[in-house]
Amino acid sequence: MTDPTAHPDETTEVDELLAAYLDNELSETERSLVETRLAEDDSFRNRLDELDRAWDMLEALPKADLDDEKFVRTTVEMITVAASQEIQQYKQQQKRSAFARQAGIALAIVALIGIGYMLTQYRLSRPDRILVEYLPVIERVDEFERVDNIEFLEALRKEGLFTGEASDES
Amino acid sequence: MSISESTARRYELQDPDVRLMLLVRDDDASAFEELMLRYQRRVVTVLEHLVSKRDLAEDLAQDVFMRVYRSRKTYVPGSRFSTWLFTIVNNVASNARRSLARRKEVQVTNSADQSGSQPADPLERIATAASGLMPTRQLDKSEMGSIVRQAVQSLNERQRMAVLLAKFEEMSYNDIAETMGMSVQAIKSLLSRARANLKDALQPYLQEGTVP
Repeated sequence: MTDPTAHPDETTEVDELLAAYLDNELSETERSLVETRLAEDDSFRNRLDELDRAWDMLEALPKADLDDEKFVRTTVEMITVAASQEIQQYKQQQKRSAFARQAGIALAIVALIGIGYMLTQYRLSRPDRILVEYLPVIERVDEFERVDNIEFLEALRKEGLFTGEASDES
Repeated sequence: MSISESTARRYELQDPDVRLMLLVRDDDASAFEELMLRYQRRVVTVLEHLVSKRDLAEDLAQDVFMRVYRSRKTYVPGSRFSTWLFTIVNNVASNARRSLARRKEVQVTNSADQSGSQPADPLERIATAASGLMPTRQLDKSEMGSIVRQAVQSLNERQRMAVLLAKFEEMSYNDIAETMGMSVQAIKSLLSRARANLKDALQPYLQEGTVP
């Protein structure tokens, strides 16, 4: 029996050494040191014996008594159900992302149509701009109407009479 | 942590269960069944001692195998198969114990008044478990099983897991450390304290399995 008055740290060290010895976790040198002490020290040997017997008593622990076939069958069933749920979820996710992609494309088309429409509307809804553009001609339209010679008008245009209108040469 | 190809190759060559798991990775259903047949009793036994309930242990074991199956595609052998498997067992058991503990917090106030004359200390309970007032006699197998089970239950969770892996899975300190996510030195201390606690709990029965 280990000396109960021994320092707790010492007992812990002894137990660690003996446990590692029993678990075959010591180096050759450590093992041989333990074996030397076992041969010489009764309390050391008794402690080892008690620890070992308590460990051996674990053999009495009941082991699981399973119906192997049933366990495998039910586990495989569970996995099959879980897998089919996962496939279902994956398909739904695929559907959702396909829908999102199609919705995105549709939105982009609608947006393009909208932008085109707005641009057209912008151009069409600004007739004043055309009037402003041709203002110099409009201001003198009465005079031009009296001129019955297109060559004369062409010559005026070439001389830059119609301000804001680019000449053919430029 | 990434596992080098040489490590994976080494475990593949050394461990037939790793080779089976690699077949599972390639969707071989019969390999998965074979792995289950090899390990299910061991997994249920460990879980039963960890959570102390047989039905729950079986449910958790199924959860373990489901996790194995689900992670098959990412499986890379970085240890023995049993080390990898019992790491999952340890995680599943820890989660289950946490949820059991939460439920017990609610129940404990109700049961405290009903405990009667049962000693609170588990070691004391073990000492009086097998007809303490009867004269010295040989214990039968089921009595011994019950006493040892209580002794194991008296260990803390980590000690219990380490003991079960060392005793029934015959794992090295290194493998236990990997399974439990601890250092080898910590496992050494853990197992030494566990052995000492078991010795104390079973002290009255150490003399050739008799009731004192």
